[in-house]
Amino acid sequence: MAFVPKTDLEKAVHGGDPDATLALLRACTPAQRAVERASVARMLELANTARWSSPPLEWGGPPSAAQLHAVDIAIVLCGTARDVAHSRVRDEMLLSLCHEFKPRSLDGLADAMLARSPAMIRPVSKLIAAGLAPRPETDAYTLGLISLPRTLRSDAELSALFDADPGLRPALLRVFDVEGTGDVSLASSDKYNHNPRTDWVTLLKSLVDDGVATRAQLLDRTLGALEKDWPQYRAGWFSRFHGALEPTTEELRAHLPRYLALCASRIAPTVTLALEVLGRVDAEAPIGADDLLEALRPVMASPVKTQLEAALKLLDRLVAREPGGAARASDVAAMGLLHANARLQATVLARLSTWGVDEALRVRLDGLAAHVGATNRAALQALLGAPADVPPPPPAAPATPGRGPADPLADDRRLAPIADLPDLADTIAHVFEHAEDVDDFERAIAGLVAATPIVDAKALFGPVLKRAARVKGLLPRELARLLRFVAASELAPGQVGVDNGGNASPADALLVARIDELARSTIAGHRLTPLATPTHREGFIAPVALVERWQAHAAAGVAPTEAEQERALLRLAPGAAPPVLAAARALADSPFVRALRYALADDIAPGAERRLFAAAARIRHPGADDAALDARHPGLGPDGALAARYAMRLESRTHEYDGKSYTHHDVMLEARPPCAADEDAPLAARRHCGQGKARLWFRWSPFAGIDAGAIRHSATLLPSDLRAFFAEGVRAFGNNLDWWEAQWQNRAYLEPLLDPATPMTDMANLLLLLALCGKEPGQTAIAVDALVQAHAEGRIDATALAAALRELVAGPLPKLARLHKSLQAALRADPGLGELVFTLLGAAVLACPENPPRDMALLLGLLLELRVDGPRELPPALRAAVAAMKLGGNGKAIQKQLLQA
Amino acid sequence: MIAVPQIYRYAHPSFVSDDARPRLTLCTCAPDAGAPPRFFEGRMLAPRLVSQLLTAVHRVVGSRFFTPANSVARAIALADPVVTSGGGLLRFEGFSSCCSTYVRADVLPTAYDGQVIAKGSTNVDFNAPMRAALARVRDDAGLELAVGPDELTLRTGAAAVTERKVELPTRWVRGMVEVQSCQAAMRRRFEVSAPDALRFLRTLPKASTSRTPLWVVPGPAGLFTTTRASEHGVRVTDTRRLRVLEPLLPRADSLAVYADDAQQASAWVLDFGQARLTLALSPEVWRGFSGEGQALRALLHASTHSEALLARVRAALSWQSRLDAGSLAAELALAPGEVEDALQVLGACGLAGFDLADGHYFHRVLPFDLSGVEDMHPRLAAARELIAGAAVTVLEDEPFEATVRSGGVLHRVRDRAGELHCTCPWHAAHQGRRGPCKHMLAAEASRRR
Repeated sequence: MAFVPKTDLEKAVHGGDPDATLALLRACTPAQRAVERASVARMLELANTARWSSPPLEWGGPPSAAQLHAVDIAIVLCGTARDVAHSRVRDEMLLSLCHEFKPRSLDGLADAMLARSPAMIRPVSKLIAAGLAPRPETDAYTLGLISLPRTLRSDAELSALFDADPGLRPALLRVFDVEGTGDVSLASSDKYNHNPRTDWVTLLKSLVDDGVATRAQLLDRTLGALEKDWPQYRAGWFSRFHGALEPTTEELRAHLPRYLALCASRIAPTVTLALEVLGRVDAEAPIGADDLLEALRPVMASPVKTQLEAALKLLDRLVAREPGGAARASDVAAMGLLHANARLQATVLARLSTWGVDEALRVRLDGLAAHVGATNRAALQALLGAPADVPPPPPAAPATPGRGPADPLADDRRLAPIADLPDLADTIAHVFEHAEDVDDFERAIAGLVAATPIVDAKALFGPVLKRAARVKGLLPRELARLLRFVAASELAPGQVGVDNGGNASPADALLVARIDELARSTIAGHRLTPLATPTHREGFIAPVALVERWQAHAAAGVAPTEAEQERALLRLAPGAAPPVLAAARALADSPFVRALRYALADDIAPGAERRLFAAAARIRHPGADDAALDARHPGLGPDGALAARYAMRLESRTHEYDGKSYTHHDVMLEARPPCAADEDAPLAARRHCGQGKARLWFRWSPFAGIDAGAIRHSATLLPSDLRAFFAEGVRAFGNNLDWWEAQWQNRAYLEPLLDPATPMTDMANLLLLLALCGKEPGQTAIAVDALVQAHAEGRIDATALAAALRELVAGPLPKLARLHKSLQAALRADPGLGELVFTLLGAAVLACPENPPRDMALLLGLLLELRVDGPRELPPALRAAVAAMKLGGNGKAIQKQLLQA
Repeated sequence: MIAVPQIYRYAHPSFVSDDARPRLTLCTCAPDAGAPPRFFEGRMLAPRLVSQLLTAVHRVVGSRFFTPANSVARAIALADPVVTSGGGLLRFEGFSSCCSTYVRADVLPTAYDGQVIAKGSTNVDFNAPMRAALARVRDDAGLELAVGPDELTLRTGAAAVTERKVELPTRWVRGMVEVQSCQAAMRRRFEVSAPDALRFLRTLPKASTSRTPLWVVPGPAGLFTTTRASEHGVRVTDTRRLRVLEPLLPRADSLAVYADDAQQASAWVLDFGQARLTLALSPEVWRGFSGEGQALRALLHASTHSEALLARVRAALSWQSRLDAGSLAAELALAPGEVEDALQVLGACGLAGFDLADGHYFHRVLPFDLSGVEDMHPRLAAARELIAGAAVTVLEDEPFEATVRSGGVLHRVRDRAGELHCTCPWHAAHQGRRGPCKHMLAAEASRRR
């Protein structure tokens, strides 16, 4: 309903007459203005809404500048502080009105504005400068002060504020008292403020220059802020400011107890700062032994290598000037053995050896022995004078010759059929809440189809029918659609996911089509299990079951659609016992039966039905070419007659920003033979073919989309050959190694690697390696588990994996520090992986010894540990590669140790 | 009620004096308009350790490990820690503002040389300047501790009374109460030395792992994490919450880890000999400690059958640091099982805490006014409504099967292989890991009738 102004004030405001509005309100008493508040607030809301909303507009149209001016006048004079704080009144008008009228909205206005946003510090400052509001003492005001440099448009504006409000500059010291928030802090203010004249370091130092504050005050407040142990991002600003103050040694020494205490801070840059200060102070005049030792004790337990090194240097100096303190220095230094860096451990052990260890320390060292690296054990044993309490080296990799992927048709992988209707209801409820449970999804849809028609379905499935309206995710949605058809005869259209490029997810579309088919199939009420229903986990169908199912369909006179037949064939577990083939031969002849026999390696030629026989060929020759089919039906595309083969290449793009160069590497994975431009391509081939203009490396895969359940379900399309599935995972991971985008769904590509029945093919290996180099810790953890588990189950071909790693490391994609961390994690989970990790590290070294990538030293360090721990010898080629590397610093020292006999 | 109003009234802020021998005065909260209680005066025998423990409590209280989408990420300390004096122990408890992490520092009698003046529970003021001063405490300089207002400050009126009103979200209060029931259901899974624990914590990722539950498992090379469920391990999400333990580990003797059988919540207990720190983690950072099954069942049973018994047990509480069911049972001429159930109920009502290391409840009264909070146990309230509305129809006693009409739908609760299942989405999602749904509670109660 359109707004109709009734009172004079409403007419003046709505009529866009600010002068009339002001005149009317000038004639009112404060009490009369307060009465108008509700009406004015409503007008303000309508006008603001009209700014952004599309017709119909209650206000009558977009508000004019004059109307907004008028309503602003009215809200200042009639409204409360909160009303004004939530409006957009211009600063100058606000000041002028407040100055003249001293309206009730002025009471608490500064606090209300700052409560709304720290960015309102500008009008607040002007109110204070004009004497219209007292300076708040609140944290909100301090947050506003922190925001000040970024809310101003120029240096001149800031100077004008300072000139107008002499109390403002002293108030700036309050910024030391408040931690700030995720959005407002000194650290974020300076990070995003590109005007060095108004950054906080400059502003605060200028207080000293202008006599508003002293250096002592700034230093004291800086230390006070650091002592509060605020989170690192915010505390880091104070560490930097401390450096900018350039305190003299006298100034530092005056606060020595505080710097000593800061060594126990949980914030790493604070500890680093404290150690630097102690180093300076101690160099000029020694710090007392008791104080120094107490302060350094927590530092020796720090994970930061440079901090331990700094602390050890201080201990060196202490012992040099007070040899009597050596024992205590040893006691403090010993904790450094907990650091994972072997070279650091070596320096600690060297000092302990020089400074001596008493009996109590010996006992402690024995307790730390398990944490000392293999390369340092001899030094530790020398210190202890007896073999340390170190666990024996782990046994060699478990010998599981011939063990490999588990049988996908093992009994423990069999899917139990739905027991009864209540069980069906429970299973449906479960799938609704577990959108990635592919096995139960298949059980549920099969159970529904096989049970239909269901008497009193609405009552029986009441709870899940209610839930069905709100489920999310492809699998629950499709199950819900089928359920509603079965129970209530409603078949809503399925939803297919669409990515940013406008590409519909083919995997979604295939499942939607299948559900439509199955729904139609229930109309006749034959109560048959759908042909393509898995009998075992991860989508496998036992051949004997498929034969029996086809028989049942034939006996009922039901012909499953060609698509369902194709799906069923693709899900067959390869290989079948002779009795099964005999049973297949006994079936009445039909294209499907012939294709089934072809899949079961019967001696027949491929038939005219290209899709059925293409599916059968994938089972007859898993992961390999079918020459006979290719001759009969050439050009079917990858995973048609010919198995897909993949070639990975990188396309790199570089751009400059703010003086820095950034390079991105796009992972392109192309399948051969090339796709056929054929809408009726075999199902397995369609996985490889992009749609329209979709790029092959596009972040949302052209096939499975971004729904994790859809991704997992796509693996059941051809469960006996997951290379295409893993190839999609390679694209997904390879193009998001640095986690530029939160693609949580990608973990669905990794989970099949944990399945004992999954063979580690070339694509599986590549996916595993990429995931081990990923940034997101959850996905990396899955990859580590996959490596550990696959190794324990004998599924890893070390040579193939090493070759894949060598090729990967030769390129710019992987970050070796992450790979190092992942391999360490794998060794912690299973020390028996030593041999495999040694092989992988060797492959990484061999990748490009003439130009070792960054962080190669980390891999060399781990290689050294494994070499000593084994003990293991470096193969000649690896030794030569290590020797050829040009390394510096730590890397050089490790190289030397590696090459020692 | 979505919030519990709480007023913190302190005679002065807690502070550490600048004397040659530092003195920490922890100001206690005055109930209503009365005098603030004074619990303890004495000297800490491990000053630096106690300082670090109190700092850890303060840190957790001010932490927020999860910020809902579209919310401002302000780490607001919702409530001041609670101090309990009883049985010679001083306990300092706190809860993170996101409701996902509970912390308690227990200072044992061997940690001090002093006098316990009174027993009780109340809030205690922790503030940033105090914490900064605690960072400077050293063992050789010593530390005096007073839990209660400073007499000199009171006499001279050197500081003004501070009063602060806070609206404690019901969710927060509920979590603080229910974490005790969660702990009571836990059992020790493994124990490692402090160096092993420190080494392990350093291997944890710095980024959040809240989306990927990890199991912490003891292995031949020490503790490690895996994404696979392990019967020997403990499930944890967002391992950043464990970081508070890191600075304390160099002083600790050992770390013991506890978890409930459903592998949801976990507790990490550092033992220092003279003191302990307990850190309890909720199953996910985005949710707190939900109602543990046994407590809900016990509560339901108590409300219908044993109010008098509950009252008797409650009357026997007097700030004991260890509530032994056997001893109380003998004292009250009750069966030990009845006393255990009663203690469970009292714990779920904020009237007792649970000490994992000791394996017993202790008397502690959370200083919140819970009387107006009717939905402390929403599931329980909903179950009672169902019972009152005659929504339950028992179909079979053995195996048990019942229907429960709720939300316009007829749910089915039935016994499958000794476990109850329900057709509601909540049970389908959680499969009993978060205790019984309201339908199961109502059905069970109807069975008992």
